[in-house]
Amino acid sequence: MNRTAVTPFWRMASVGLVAFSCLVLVYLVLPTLVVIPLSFSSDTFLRFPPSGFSTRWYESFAASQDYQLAIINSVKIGVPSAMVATVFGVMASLAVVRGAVPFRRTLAALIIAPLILPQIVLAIGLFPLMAKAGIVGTYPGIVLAHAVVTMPLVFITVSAALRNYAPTYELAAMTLGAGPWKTFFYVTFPMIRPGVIVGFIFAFAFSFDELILAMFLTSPTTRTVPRLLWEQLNFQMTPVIAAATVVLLGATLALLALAAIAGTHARRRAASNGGTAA
Amino acid sequence: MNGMTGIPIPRPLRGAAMPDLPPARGARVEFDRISKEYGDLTVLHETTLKIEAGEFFSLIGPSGSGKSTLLGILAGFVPPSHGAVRVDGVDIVAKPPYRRNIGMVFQNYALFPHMSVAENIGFPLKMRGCSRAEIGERVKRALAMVRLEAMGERRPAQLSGGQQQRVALARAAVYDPRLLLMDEPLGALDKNLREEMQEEIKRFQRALGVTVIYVTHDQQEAAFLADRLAVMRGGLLEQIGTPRQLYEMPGTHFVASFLGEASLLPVAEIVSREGRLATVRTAGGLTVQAFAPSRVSERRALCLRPENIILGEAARGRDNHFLGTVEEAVFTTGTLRYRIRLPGSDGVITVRVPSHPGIELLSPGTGIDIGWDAAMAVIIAED
Repeated sequence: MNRTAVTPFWRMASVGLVAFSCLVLVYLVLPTLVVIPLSFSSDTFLRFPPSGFSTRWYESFAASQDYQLAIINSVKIGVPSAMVATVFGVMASLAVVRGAVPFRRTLAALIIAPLILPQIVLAIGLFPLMAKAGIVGTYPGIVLAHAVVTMPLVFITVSAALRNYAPTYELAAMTLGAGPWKTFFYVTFPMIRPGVIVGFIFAFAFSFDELILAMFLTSPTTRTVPRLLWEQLNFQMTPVIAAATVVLLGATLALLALAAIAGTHARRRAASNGGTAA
Repeated sequence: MNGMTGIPIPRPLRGAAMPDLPPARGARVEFDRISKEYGDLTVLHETTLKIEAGEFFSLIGPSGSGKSTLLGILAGFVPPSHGAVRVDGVDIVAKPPYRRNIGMVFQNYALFPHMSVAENIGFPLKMRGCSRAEIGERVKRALAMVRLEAMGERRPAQLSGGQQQRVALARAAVYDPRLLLMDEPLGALDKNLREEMQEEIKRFQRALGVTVIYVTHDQQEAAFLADRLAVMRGGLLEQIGTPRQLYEMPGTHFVASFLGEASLLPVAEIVSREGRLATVRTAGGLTVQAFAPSRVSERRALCLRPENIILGEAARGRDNHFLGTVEEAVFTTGTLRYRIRLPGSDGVITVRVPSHPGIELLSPGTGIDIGWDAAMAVIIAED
């Protein structure tokens, strides 16, 4: 009786899902891709559709001192902040997943909070604190801020990696004579490495693209690529912005592809160990 | 069918002489009033247990009986709430697992998937700071011992279940611990392989002379392997003894039905008693000659093992003889298994008779002579 009623419903639902996915594609992904033709524009202003084709904006992007500095800044901020996030994210997930800490669920929610909270809230909160500490506009300031927002990413990927196998391996290592550090170094870390790498890449990619905290906490000398793009949008509106965005997009996609490869590799390895990892 | 008559004198239930053990290279283990509580929940009641050097000791019981907790306390994973654990007289409760020098084999082997077989076996030696040459030498010997010489470079995932099990055994023994713990080590293997591995584990233990504490829920495995075993239930040791003692002279209903198959007839009254021989009346109204252990509790039952009951002509000369009715008859590999209704209201008991082409399977409804000697009906405590 129910079957006849349910089946058409699910068929409709799946049609709806496909339609929704198409809309997402049209409204969210396509506008992103619009920057590609824009970046090859021959016009002097951002205008769609562009009236002609040229690579001059890529040339001026490549020649721009501002962009070079911004890219270097983004890397100088992204790498250390991702490293800090990775160290603390790994420690946090070890404590929450493996440790005997009370209130783990609450703790896990708190650790993930910076990712879910609007960054503007964090920015407004951090700004006076960092101003007081005198680190607004410095590298340590923005590195710390980015580490805070990206740590949840590492926490999530590493927690998943830890939940992927039973803690028996660590217990076994201990009975075999490995103390806590050696157990981590020889057993835990090799087993969660893919999760750590993916977490690091996510953290770096996030920092590389992040605008709001960068607006509050960087100075003209420490400004990152997103902040530079934002400023240029306000003042110049030349297609060099589109060219820079395309480069940024390419870099981000490459990082995500790298993370996907690392993830797949780990899954394949886990699958081939199915017998022992149960 | 066994044609034994008369009453054999069984060995006493507890404090039996220790079975012959190989020269003591193993450690002596003593749980001294150990208990474990999690808040209000007691998972292990106060337990005192001594395990001799070189003994193969098995802890059996259903899940949640406290056997794994006891093992975890010994390994150092679970801090006990009270009491002491002594290995060769030294209390180890305060020592972390990695300083206890106890070998452990886990149910899923816990072989490190990112290391080769040789690296796995060499791991405990590396942790002990052995030189490369020494590690190589000892790993080679350990691999030979479990007959996996050619497998050193493989990854654990490339081995069969039985081979992984042997690697786990080699890894737990390569540093010569005097005490080996095994937590359901054969749980993941199929039946034939299990039996093969049981032989292997027994040989291994004999050869090394180590003390082994073996946790399992498989009573057959425990009976085959262990010198002595302890049946656990609800965080308590229910009974300790050799497998034979526990099977033939179970103290309680629980032990009787946990080890092998048993039919239990509630006892209404002990009519008379002469040493180990008693005449009892069952709740169903039968008068039965039975074997009475020294201590007999208030609530009691007769424990009858299905293979000790005799059917047909031969039943007539036994200490106990009745006319029963076949209720159910099935062939199981090797035996004919009957459910036979006794006269009176005691209900149905299980009987197993060896099967062979010359024997006919009785059909339900058939009347049949059923009998057993007094020594085959042991008075045990009811729960």
